Amino acid sequence: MTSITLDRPVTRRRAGQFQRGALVAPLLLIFFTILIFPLGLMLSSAFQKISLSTYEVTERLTLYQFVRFFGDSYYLGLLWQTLSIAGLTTLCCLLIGYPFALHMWRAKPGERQVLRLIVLSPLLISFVVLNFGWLIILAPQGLINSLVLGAGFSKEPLSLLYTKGAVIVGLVHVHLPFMILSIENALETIRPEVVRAAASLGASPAHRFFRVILPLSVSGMVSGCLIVFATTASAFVTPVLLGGAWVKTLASVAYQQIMVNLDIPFGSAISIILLLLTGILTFTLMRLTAWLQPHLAEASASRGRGGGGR
Amino acid sequence: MTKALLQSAASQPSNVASEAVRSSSSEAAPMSDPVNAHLELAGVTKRFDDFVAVDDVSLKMRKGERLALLGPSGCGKTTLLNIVAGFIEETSGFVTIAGRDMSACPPHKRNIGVVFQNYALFPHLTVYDNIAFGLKFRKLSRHEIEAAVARALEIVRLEPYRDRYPHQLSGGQQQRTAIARAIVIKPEILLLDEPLSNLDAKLREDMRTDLLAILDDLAITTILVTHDQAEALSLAHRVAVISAGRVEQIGSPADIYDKPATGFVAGFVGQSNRLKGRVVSSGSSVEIDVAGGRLRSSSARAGSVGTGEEVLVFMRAEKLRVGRNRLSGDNDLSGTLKHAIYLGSEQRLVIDTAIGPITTVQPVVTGQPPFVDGEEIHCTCDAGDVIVIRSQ
Repeated sequence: MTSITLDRPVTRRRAGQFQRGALVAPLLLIFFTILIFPLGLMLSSAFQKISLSTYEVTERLTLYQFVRFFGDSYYLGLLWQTLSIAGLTTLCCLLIGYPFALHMWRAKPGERQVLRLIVLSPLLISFVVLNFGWLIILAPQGLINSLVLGAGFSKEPLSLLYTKGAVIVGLVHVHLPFMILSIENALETIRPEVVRAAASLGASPAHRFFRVILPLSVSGMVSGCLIVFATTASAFVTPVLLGGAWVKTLASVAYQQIMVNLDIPFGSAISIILLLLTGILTFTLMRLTAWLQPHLAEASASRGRGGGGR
Repeated sequence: MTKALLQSAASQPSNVASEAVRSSSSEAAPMSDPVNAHLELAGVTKRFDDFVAVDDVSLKMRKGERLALLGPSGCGKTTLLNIVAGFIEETSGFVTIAGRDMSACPPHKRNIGVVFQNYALFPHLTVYDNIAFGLKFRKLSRHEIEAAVARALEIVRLEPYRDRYPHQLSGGQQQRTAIARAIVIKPEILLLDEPLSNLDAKLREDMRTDLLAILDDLAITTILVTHDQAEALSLAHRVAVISAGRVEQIGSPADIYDKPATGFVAGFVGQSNRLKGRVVSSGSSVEIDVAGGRLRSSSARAGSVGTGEEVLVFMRAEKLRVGRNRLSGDNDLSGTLKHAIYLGSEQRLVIDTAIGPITTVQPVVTGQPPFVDGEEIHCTCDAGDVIVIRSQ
């Protein structure tokens, strides 16, 4: 293989490399300007300390902001609040999304198209509009409360809005499509004959689900969970609109520190802590799936070996 | 090659074979239905909206018998297999296995082993776990499961591969895993859906021999679905030729080959010259007018046609005799050689005869120069090898 590559005219190879480079250049440029560059700025400011009266940098390299975060039970509570909201949202998405994806997978092509459109519908509307919809439903004079009060179940309006529950409901609504689509995508790769084979070998519908369908859709569940967890852990709009001042998350506090208190170093430190936590969780979950699915790990390994010859 | 297959098929034990069958259009021999049919289909029909995939199929199989469903793709043979397995529900008719009506029996309670065309192995399980899968739903101890899987691995010669995943196996190994997985559960019925079609030509020959050995050892009642006549004729005791959802003919491989009941069977099985003609004189030997020429036939079904009837005439490509010298025979088909195609062990010849172009396949004889284009050639066909079928 190597000799063939060497035999090709050098000029043609260079042209090819240039063309290939040109294809990825725009993305690399955007990636650098909107991700790497700001991330570098944030990283450098997170290790600074400023005077909150003059806003002048007093120390250039200090762990002060991190000590401040982890030394304060208020911020640790926030951290737990953020992770629990993200975790519960992910769990709800998984529990609601899996049966739906399973139904979609088994549906006839026509019905599946309709269901897919319904699933995708939240993505066609702005998050803000969706959250305002929940505002109308959950408000003290909203839909649910007028029904509850009208039916006489309660004398006082229930406080539904500005609770952790409201935030989770809003987040689940917005993120459910990602979960359903990634699970359905994994289910699509299961050949119908494989399920029939299990049936012919004596596996009841429940056995077929737990021994064949579920193990073969683990990758879809994991990628769905990763997407939902990472995006909800850093969600800003929904916690602010449906949680108000009562349900605070790391994202909203980082915003407050930077935009209101002008404490850019502390805001940066909070953002970096959030980033690291989601990064670590993502990595752990990926390792866990690799361990759960030895056949896939070996498949990619053997593909890697085959690709090496090219 | 077909000849060799035919011989191997004909040499199979005939006591299990050829039990007569009720079938919609078969003019088959007198029926003596097996008293205790192991598998029975009665008037099985499957409609998808307006399309009739399986049309009133009735047949009976003895325990241990192997039946091939042979037909072109889309003829309904796979649908029929799916009905027996319980994956598809029949619109009408019923399936009985070992005397039990299967109408209300879901696939996982039927105890049927299926080998799928694409093998359908569980990608997340090793060869061992694939084979052990079905045993876990049966009341067996761990030790019994291990022993049964080990034995199945031995039968299909896959012991060294027990810890591999399906994607790490070759096509033939995947095929053998699928067979082991289906037979290890000791099924009442074994269903094979195009078992060899995904293998390349050389491997297919080897696998066919292996499969035949395995099936002979097990003596499980087996239905084999195939569009490959060599597979059907070599592996099955009986062959059912299916077209457009109906059974055209059911009989031993030799019957199907030598005494086709319909034009479809005669054309589908083997390589034949198909000609249209009119009966000029009938009797024990029939004379037919074909494109101005005359053919004489004394084959099995020739007696049933009357004078003046429109008929189809079939002559098997390998049953014709050719030579450079004059040959004695019932039907003279001499003419100019249009094409001589050399295929190594045999030669395919297209001869321009008085009744039109005729194709024949002849073995290449050592020491004799092969035929060449444009040669004048003598050709003859015995009256017993001219198959006559009434045109519908």
